[in-house]
Amino acid sequence: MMAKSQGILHKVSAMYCRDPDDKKDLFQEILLQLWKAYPSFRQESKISTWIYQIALNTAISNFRKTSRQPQKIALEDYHLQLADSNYDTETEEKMAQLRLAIETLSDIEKALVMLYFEGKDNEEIADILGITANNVRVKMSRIRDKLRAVVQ
Amino acid sequence: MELDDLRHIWQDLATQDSVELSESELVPILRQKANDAISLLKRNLKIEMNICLYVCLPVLVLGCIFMDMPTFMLGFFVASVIFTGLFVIYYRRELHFLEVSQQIVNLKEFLSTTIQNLSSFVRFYLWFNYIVTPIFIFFGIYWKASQYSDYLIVTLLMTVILSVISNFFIRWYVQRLYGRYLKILQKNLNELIEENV
Repeated sequence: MMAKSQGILHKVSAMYCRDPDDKKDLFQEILLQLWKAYPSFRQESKISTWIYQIALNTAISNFRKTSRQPQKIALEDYHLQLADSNYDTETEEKMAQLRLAIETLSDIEKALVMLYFEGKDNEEIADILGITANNVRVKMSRIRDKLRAVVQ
Repeated sequence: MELDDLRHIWQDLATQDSVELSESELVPILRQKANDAISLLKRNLKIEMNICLYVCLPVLVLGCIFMDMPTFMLGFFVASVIFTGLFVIYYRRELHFLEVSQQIVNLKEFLSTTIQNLSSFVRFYLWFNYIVTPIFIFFGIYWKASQYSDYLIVTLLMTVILSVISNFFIRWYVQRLYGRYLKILQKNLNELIEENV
């Protein structure tokens, strides 16, 4: 289970942390929380849903991250970070814009976007976050507008 | 560019630099201690409670040798009642916390339970220090001042002054460390449950 969940853990860590060391710390913390919580997993939901729940709970309540000052980063810096990658210029541009757009989102909005990107429907997102599907729809509509304004 | 167009870019972006760990690499991570706020606060509390116990033991021995029996018995009785009470309250809270944390599933429940539990542990931490600090200050000064006349009044006065200063500092420190964090959690919970923003 731990080995299989690594993909999800990396994605959640990437969504909430930019610095590689912070990412690593968050990855380890989520892994620990999963390990601690596993005996209480009751097979009522899909294992991936449960992993997302624990991972997002841990990332949003990350004590280390909240005790640090958030750092602003410019689009040019993202281009510099991606300069060594194997992507073409257009993809690099899109990735840099997406990273910048994600930085403008709140922690709750990041969770919604992340679950949306992972192909979860509104009902499943509502289940993971503990809110109504209608609330998910309203929030997603706001996030769309917000991201559209940044990624253009 | 629409949100759906960003999906594929996200998959590439999120998995950049991510390394799949083998089982042998995972094991040492799972042996580490958790660094969530409640685990950290509980660790601090346990350390302070143990320090109190280890400081009390030599004080008891010294008191038994140098103090007159009625004073020693009174001090021993008061200290036993206070420490037993604090330990019972702490472990009841810990049991309650374990029961509740095992039932948490979604983010809304998790945030509201974390806020409740953390507030409860912070309150206990503050009360623990409010109660224990004056006792240690009193006996510390009493030990030195007992050779002078009017030592009881001086000891009580100094205990009050030092306790107020010390508790003010502890309150400031705890609020600085956990108060800001609690506000962030509350802000996240409010944002999550707000329907018509």
